[in-house]
Amino acid sequence: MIKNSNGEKAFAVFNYLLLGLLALTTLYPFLYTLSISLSTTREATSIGFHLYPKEVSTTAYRMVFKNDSIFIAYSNTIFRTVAGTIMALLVTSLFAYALSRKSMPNRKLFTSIVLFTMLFSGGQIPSYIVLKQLGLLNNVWVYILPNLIGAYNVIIARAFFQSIPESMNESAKIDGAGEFKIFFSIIIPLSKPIIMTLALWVAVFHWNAWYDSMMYITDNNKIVVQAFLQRIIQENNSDLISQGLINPDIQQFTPETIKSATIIVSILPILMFYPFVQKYFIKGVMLGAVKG
Amino acid sequence: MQKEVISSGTKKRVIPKSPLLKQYINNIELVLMIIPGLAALFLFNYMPMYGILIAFKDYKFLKGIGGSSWVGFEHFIRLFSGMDFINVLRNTIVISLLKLVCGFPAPIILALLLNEIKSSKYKKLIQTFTYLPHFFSWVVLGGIIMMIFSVNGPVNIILKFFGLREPLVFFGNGNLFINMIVSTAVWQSVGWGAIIYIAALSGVDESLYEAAYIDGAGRWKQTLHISLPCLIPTISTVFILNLGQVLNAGFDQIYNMYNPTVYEVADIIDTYVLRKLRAMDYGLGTAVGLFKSMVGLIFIIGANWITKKISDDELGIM
Amino acid sequence: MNLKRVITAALVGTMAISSLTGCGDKKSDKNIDPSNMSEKITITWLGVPYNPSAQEGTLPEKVLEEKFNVDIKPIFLAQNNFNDKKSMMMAGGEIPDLVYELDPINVKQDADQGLIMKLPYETIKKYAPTVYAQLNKEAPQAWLYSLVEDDNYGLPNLNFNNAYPRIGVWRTDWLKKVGINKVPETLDEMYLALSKFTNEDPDGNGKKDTYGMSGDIKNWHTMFTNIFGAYGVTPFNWMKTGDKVEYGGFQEGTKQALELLSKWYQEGLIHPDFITDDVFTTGKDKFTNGIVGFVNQHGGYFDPKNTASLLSITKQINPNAEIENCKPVTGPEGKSGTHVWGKPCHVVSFGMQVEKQPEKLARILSMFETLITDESLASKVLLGEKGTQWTYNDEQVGLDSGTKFLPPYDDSNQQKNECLSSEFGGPSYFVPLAQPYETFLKYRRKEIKDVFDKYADPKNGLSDAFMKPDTLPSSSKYFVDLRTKQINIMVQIIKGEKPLSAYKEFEDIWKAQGGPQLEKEAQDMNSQLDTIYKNVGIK
Repeated sequence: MIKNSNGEKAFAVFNYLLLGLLALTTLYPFLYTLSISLSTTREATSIGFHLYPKEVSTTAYRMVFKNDSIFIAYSNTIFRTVAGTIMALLVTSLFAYALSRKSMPNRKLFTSIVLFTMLFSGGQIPSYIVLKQLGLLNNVWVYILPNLIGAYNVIIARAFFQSIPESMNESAKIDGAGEFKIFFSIIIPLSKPIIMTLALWVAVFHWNAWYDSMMYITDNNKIVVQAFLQRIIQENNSDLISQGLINPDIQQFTPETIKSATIIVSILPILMFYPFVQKYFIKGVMLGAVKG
Repeated sequence: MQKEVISSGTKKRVIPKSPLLKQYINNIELVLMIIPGLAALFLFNYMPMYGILIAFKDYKFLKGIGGSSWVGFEHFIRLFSGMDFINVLRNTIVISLLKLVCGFPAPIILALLLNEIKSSKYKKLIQTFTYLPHFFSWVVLGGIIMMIFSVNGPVNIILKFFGLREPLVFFGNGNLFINMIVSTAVWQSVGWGAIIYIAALSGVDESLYEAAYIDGAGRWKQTLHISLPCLIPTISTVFILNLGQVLNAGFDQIYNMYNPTVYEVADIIDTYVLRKLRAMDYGLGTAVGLFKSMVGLIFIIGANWITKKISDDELGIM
Repeated sequence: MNLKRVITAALVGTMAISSLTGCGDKKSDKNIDPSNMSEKITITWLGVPYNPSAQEGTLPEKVLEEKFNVDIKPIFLAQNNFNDKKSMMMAGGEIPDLVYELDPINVKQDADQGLIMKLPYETIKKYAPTVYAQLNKEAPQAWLYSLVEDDNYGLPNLNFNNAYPRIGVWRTDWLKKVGINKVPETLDEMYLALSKFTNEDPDGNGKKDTYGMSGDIKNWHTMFTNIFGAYGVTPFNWMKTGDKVEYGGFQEGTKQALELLSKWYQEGLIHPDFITDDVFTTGKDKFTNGIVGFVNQHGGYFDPKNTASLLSITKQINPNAEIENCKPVTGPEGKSGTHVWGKPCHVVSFGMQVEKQPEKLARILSMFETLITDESLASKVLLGEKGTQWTYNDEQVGLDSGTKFLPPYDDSNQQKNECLSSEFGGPSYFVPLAQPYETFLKYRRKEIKDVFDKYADPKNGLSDAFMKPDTLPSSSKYFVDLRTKQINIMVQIIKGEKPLSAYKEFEDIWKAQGGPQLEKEAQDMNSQLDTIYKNVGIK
């Protein structure tokens, strides 16, 4: 047992409290939205903190799932998240790993090529035209292929791979292993934290993405959950009422309860992904390898 | 013939490198590894790249980008000489730098503090809660924050309890507004931003801590001399990359929370352009994007150069 | 029958010959008989962005296709990215035949880009005379919307709903509690009521937690509009004064109203949140939750059947609450009014390729003509089949009792997905124009009709001389920023941070930062209106 000094005990208490306070504040928006989603319309429009619903009502959720469209949107979101994450992980980590090895020819050149794309982009219209030329408009692969590799992820992943010493490669090569074999059987097991972080980042990106769905997809049965949600929220945007584009007499507004329910329904699954990822952030992963 | 410089300690050896083609052949597997990524980058990033030219042209759809006439720097001149542009640029830089100064250390500190929590259950719980705000768009968060910081809202109630006479009008006072923008932005991203540092910390050899303890170091010294140094590579990489976004001061957040009375300090390049861009002026829009990118590039190159100098070529992204 | 076939063949033959002998690319349309619909025409149709989830094959589409022998290929976009996506589509080479334009600036942009065709007044008059006449009669200023440098590029449409001014709503149970027995009609009466709301605890809970009213500075057109209107001005619009136009912000009434508002704010009548409140969300919430006792709303919020209406929500939160509408209050000189956008709405333009297909243009325009003259067809395309999609509220009474949708179309999403609409006063997807005024009145819901008749006289609507002040060419360059600065100074004066004389600061800024340019453009546009009126045959 490591004994703590009094100073350290005091700090530990302070730490627990501080972090607890932070966690409560960050939890609040979620509680707020969850509470409204389970409230009656009457309570939802009341001004208050909405920490919990005084009168519980599941109407909002029933309305959300009544429409078949949400299930279709969900299946599209799940497809892009699973396929998109797996494929992006493969492409990105291979790329980043190769760039981390000093023996890679033209390392700096390729790093620059990637970095450049983080800052410079052709813009909305040229991207649209290119996607059109590639036949990706109104095609579910438009969710996956343009997102196979991203500069930020590559550079961060490369930094992690760089901390794996070249001696690893040398000793493996002596045993006759090629780079691919080294990558899959040695590097990956050692790099679980960064791989899982990348997986988290890419999965969350795919889960939350809506812009590509709104811009490049016209078929209703190919849109994703977030685009569906955006439509509902933006349809009742007060900007449009104020410009006279919506007639408030005729338009029936989506109640706050349904908007909140749709938000919860689209966030909940991805929240459940993180604890699964947390397992891989255990200390001492590199331990055996380096010593060996 | 290229030479590779290897530095070990303070000595530097110069080794002549083999010709390029031979390198490619010898490392064919590594080269193959980057092919899929390069293909994706080429198709989806570089093929549309010609769109940057729109910043220098009078873009007519029917003529295409190639056929549209060249106008040189006209759009840029229009942008820079526009009323208030200097003000807007200043606001963008101020807000961005404030967010960087306050927001960059926060996730690191959070990761280190979490590292000190012994109970893994509590640690996981806290971590899960802290990243929640990252998942809510500013459309939702903005509404909630506006309620909390309103004149009769809880923040002012608490301040009144502590003796404040007049309520603080966070949304009517430029300085208060900026403070609120920066702190809520940091609050929103601290949990999510800490994940990469938590991942990095999990790669630290536990035996190092034990050895330090035996040498008489308390947790504070251990953090300072073990945890922090192990995080340095990650920290420097993230820092340099973030500098590329120096002119992106957080459009979504500001757009959802600002109002005319705080435009003076809160109007950033993106909100300013949005109001002016109702006319779908592609030349101007592209010029703005190009301007932001160039400034970001300069910052990244500069930061990278400084980092390499400080760390004796160890760190840096290039 | 045979004779008809012969004539048809002859016509077709003549058309074919004339197209061969016609000069240049433009086909002569002299020989097009719009009532001859033997040739099936395909139309790519980009309509209003209110039905993003709809797909091809809706009921209204089939009705139109059958009646006019067309094949419609509809494109459904959403409101929030309409202009972005439309631009991308067109940049990628897909230009629809029918192009719906939301704002004059979009018409100008598409015309500059060469994407839409010029649409001469004569052509519209020829194939859609009733539509043409309606526009001239109801809102000829609308022609400004489709005008780009002396040429006309589209057919503007109307929305009768936008002619009605905002109506005030009072908590009458509060009024009774503080001893006022009728809804305030003048500024002085309003002042008295608001003071009592602030100071005399109208909700009887023993706490001083109520205010008279709040405000909204983001939706500038609603900003204290009834107060400014009581002095006869709209501070952010161009107002016609005789032959000229002047900016509302410099009228005497604006300063007088500001002085009054400042007094009211200092006395606590106006909620301090007025700088962040949005009259459609948080502002409305303050009223329904009993924090303020007065709010400016559009009349329709008073529908007891609509569970989302102001009345319903207020009563849900507080069953004892009673609310009542009021007309805009009158000021010291007897003036009153609130801001309205006015009847002009959007513009229907046609893709450049249609210029070479005059028979397509003629077919579409005559479709519009029929839709405005044939009420039973219009109701079929808008509401659907009686008995299947809709029916009367009371079969005995008939249309007077109002219409209602039958399940499953009583769900508003279903309506939208099937492109159905009970909106006769403005454009819908397959009927991008307003019905005749009388038809609109006939089909309007009775509850709304009553409220509007009593409180919302279109004469009380103060609209901009050019309908939308953003119509001026330099608007995005100067006007947007100037208006922001104007609002800022107004807020400072209202809050008492600066005296009324500080308004001169805005006048100086206006002169220095583009104001004179805007004034010149406004006078030019005013003269242009006269020219338009001559061209369309009004003057």
